[in-house]
Amino acid sequence: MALGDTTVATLPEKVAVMLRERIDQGTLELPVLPEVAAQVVAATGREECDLRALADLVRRDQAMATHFLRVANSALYLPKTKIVSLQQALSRLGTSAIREIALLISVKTRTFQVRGYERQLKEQFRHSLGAALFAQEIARMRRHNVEEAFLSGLLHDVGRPVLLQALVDLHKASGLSPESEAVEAAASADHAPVGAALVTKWALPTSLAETIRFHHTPDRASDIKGSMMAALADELAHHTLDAEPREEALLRAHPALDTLNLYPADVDKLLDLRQRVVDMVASIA
Amino acid sequence: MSAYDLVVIGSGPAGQKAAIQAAKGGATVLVVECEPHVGGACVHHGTVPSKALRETALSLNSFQRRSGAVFEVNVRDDLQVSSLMLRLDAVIRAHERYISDQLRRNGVDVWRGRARLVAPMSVEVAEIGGARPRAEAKNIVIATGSIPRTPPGIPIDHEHILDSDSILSMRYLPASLAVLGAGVIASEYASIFAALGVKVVMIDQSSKPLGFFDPELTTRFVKYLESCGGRFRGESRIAKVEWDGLSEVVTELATGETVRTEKLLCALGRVANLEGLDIEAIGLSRTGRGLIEVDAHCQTAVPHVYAVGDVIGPPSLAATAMEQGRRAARHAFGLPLPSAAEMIPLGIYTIPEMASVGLSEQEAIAANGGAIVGRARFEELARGQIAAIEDGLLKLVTDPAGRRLLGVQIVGEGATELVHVGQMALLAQLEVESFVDNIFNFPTLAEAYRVAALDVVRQRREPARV
Repeated sequence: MALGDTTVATLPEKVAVMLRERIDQGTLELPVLPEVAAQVVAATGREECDLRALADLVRRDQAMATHFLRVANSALYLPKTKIVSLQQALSRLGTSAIREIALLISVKTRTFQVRGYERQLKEQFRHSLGAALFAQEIARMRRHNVEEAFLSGLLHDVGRPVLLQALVDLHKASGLSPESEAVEAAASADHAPVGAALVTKWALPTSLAETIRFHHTPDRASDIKGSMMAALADELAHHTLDAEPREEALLRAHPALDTLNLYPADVDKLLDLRQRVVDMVASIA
Repeated sequence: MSAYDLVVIGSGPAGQKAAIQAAKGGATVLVVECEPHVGGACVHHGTVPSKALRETALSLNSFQRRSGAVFEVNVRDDLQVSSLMLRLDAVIRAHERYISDQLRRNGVDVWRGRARLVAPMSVEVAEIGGARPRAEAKNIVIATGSIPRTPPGIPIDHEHILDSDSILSMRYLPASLAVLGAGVIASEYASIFAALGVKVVMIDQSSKPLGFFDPELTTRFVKYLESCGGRFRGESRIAKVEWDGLSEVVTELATGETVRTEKLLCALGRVANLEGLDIEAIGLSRTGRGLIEVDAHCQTAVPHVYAVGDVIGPPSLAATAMEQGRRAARHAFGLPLPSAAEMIPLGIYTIPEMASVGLSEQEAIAANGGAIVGRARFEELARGQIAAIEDGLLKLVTDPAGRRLLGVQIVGEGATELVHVGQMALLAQLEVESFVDNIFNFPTLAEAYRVAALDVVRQRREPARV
């Protein structure tokens, strides 16, 4: 996979080359948020572990969710059934395995270290959860699979934090000071293919990889509806959670509305959910 | 503004046939459909998709039975629901294409949007882009179908607690499934998922499923469900349904007992889909059950407005809805009306299939003071033995003298096809001897008619059952 020319041009040559190598070699990492890891450790350590609260932590955090699915499908647990959704994992694994996996991820996975980019990272996690919440509502409206929609909303931008961490690491290793604009542009430019490649490498559902890859170009996806749903949820989350929200007019002219058969009254119902999404995101992120 | 002789709202089986019939009679016709494609819930959520899944379940099941010890057939643990319906998209597309082509060939216009009755002869169509064109209509047919009923206290979230419109959105087969209801949809899905290895429990207030059907047939359905590891919990009132927030749906019964399953299907009936149509604006009202009241010609209280299909209530069958659509259009344009079909066959796509036409044993006894019933068990038929279809039963219901055929009830593979032989015999008013004196192909399941007829003849010597 090659980085876009614009991205390469704006990053220091050395960093750009090393980043390309990491992408090509598939050695990029998805760390977890240190505070979420700490919460999971604390929750699993209690004698009376509140499994619902623990499951919520896993469900609403893109890094925890990704690793949970990866470990649940790994040789360590050898599930009889291929796990394709978080809910399926939570239903099938049993309470001790849920605790064990969550703890394992929290203590074994690297935590994010992105000094100077903490705000952007936090915003990305908030945005992902917002997109997940909107995606599941769109799926409910259209009677599509809600679990799959939530997961695709949650992970649609999973490539961004991965690239952000890699770029911060590579600048540090090169003794260079990261230039904020270039780092953000690079993390943005290739996040879709990088996210899709990672999800594929971790043997998560192929439909998820496809949605991630095409969420900015949904008309190129073979499952157009799935990618359109993620694209619309992405737009709704930007409109709802960004410091400078995108205009409502953009949302009302979104091409996904036609594909998903969502009428102006349906868009109104989705927009009515904005405060609920803001509250839910604020309560956990 | 566009003007039409007929505006049909909805393109399901009833709407399509009304539109085609009117167009063939020379009328200008507009169909308004809110979904991107024509066909209605029948094609997209109900009849066609569920039958596609059923066909796969049935094939797996049949192969298992027929192969005996030669092949071992196991449903893979990681089987995805979507992989069981790989042909579904192709089937739906083909069906849509067929309907679209038929409408186009007959010069019917189709607008995509949500219809609202703004005046007795004016329909507004809200489009996705926000435009709201109107069409003037000399006649209107309301064929907007039905939606699943959401009973109070059952929090359908289409994720853990599903209804019949969302059940097929499941990606993986749940380990267990509670099915609330005992009607056609509940029974069909319960038996399909049970056949696929899901642990199914049907829960309903009634004492048995499909209460309108011959109990001898429904007993066999329950036996099949149990043979797949499922069960029917009758006479059970539901106190509460909730997702436990982690892994299970908890159904609490009035007795205090709880049933825990991975998913739940609520199939407690359907209601007329009239939201946003604003029928009151043109002087129509809903019945106590939320339906539109019509006369024998499907004409409403507003003479130029007709209603057909699920919006007028039972029997809510695609075949009946089509006929209602045709009749409404013919009446609206003064075309001669054929006599109303009296013999409507009923087919239920459970596993095993069930079908009925004419009077049941109980109805015949009530009407005639007695009845002779001839039975043919499929295990006695050569074809039944060859194809391992051994759980079937065909009943010929006759008058107390055992001469006149009054009804046919069938359970078993092929029941929904076989019933038409009985339907034609009833329409032709054939006597039981016709089945004895004529030759049936050998080996076929249709031989069941002859076997059952011989059973009637044998019983003529005995007193009729009262």
